[in-house]
This record gives sequence, C-alpha cells and structure tokens, in this order.
Amino acid sequence: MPLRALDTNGYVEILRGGARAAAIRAALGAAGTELVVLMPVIAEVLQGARSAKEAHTLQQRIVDAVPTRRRLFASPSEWAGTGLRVADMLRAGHDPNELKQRSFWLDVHIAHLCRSRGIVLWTDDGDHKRIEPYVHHRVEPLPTSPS
Amino acid sequence: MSAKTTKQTVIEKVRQMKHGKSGKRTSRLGRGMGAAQDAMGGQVVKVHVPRKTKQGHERMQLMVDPRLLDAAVVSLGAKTKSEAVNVALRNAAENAAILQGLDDAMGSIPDFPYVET
Repeated sequence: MPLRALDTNGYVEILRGGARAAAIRAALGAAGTELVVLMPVIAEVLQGARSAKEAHTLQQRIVDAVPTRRRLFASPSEWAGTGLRVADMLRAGHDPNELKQRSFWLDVHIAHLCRSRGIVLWTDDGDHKRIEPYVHHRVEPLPTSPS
Repeated sequence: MSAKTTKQTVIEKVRQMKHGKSGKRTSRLGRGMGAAQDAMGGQVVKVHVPRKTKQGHERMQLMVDPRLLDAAVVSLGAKTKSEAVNVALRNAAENAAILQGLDDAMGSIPDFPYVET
C-alpha cells in the first residue's frame, strides 16, 4: 500500500474549509492510501498560528490525533542525506539564493524524507517541482474536485 | 449412582442449546448466518462467543473473505493470516484517527495564513 502525506498547503486548505478542502479530504479517505504525517510539514503549519488558541487547535487536530507510529521525522542518516542533496543542488548550479531561504531548504528536507521512505507527497508548492530533478521524490498535485 | 432428575435434564438441554453439545461456548448459526454461509461458498462457519486467551486478550472468530485474506498476507508481508488481519485492522484504525483529526480541523480556522519563512 503506498504511503501518502499532505504538504503544508494541503493542511492550510483543510483549515480554511471550502470545496477544495472537501476534495482533498475525499481523496485522503480513498481506499488504498496509507496516510502518514511529516513532522517538518507540521512545523511549517504551526508557524501560521496567530494565537495560543489557534496553536492549541492545531496541536489537537493535526498532531495529537495522529498515532505516534504515523508521525514521521528524519533519522540521523536522513538528516545527513538532506545536506548531501543541498550540496548536489549547489554543484549542479541551482540558485544559491533560493537555497538560503529556510522554507526552500526545509522543502529539500521534506523531499529527501519522502524519497527515503517511499512517500508520495501531495502538494501544490512549486518549490517541489524545482527540487524533484535533484531528489527524485514522488509528487502529486492536490486534488481539485472530489473523484 | 442416581438417575438425572427431570430438572437436571432440562438445564442440561438448555446449556447444550446455548453452548453446543460438547460444552464449548459455541453459538448456533442464526438466520443471517445462513446467508453468510452461502456467500462463503457453503463453508461451515461457526461464530464463537468471545473468550479470553491465556494472555487475557479477547479472541473472537470472524468471517473473512479468504481471497482478500490471501492477498493481504502477500501485500502486507505478514507471516500468518492472523497477523495480516491484525496489521490491516491497525492500518485502518490509524488512518481513521488521522482522518478524524482532519475532519475536526476542516474549516476550523477559515482565515488561516500560509506562512513561509
């Protein structure tokens, strides 16, 4: 069974609600999908909390609700691998100014974690299109309408 | 050696109806079970009343489509059919917990910002 994880923009859509969120929720519930939660993604989502109440809501619903076994974070070798992927990208001529941005660097880390664990990442973040040629992780666009 | 009284005989018959002749805690097939039995290709299926294992776990006998079970053993890399059932149930329960959290989160912060730093 393939593993799938939502990227930050997927969580933001769900928190906002609406038709797109319903489509994403329906796809996540589809048979044959084993869901995992990437803790670097959760860190990105939590950055958006504007109050203690919002932080509490996020903690309860997208962290505490998730069984511990499904909360994934990098092993020591996967952290080391992230550094090696960034080095590969710099040697291949990728824009060093983009790699200096924390959000882009964290996307490289998320991409490497997905590649390492065989996870399909559901995202609309254009950064992953630019990272994919180096890291070769599997990316699929977020669903736009219920299938 | 005395013959059984009528009362003892009645009690024993009621016990046999409830638990089977051997005294094992086995229920008889109900009406719905007949249809299920047909669906299972005529295979006799007994449904046991929950009982405790030596380790104190509750054990039940369930009806499972054997073709699905064989496929699950292979796809989940399980050593036994029981292990495949348990892995599949655990996966389903973990997925359900994640989805429940997302359902609770749905639309809960309508103006949530997308922050990139």
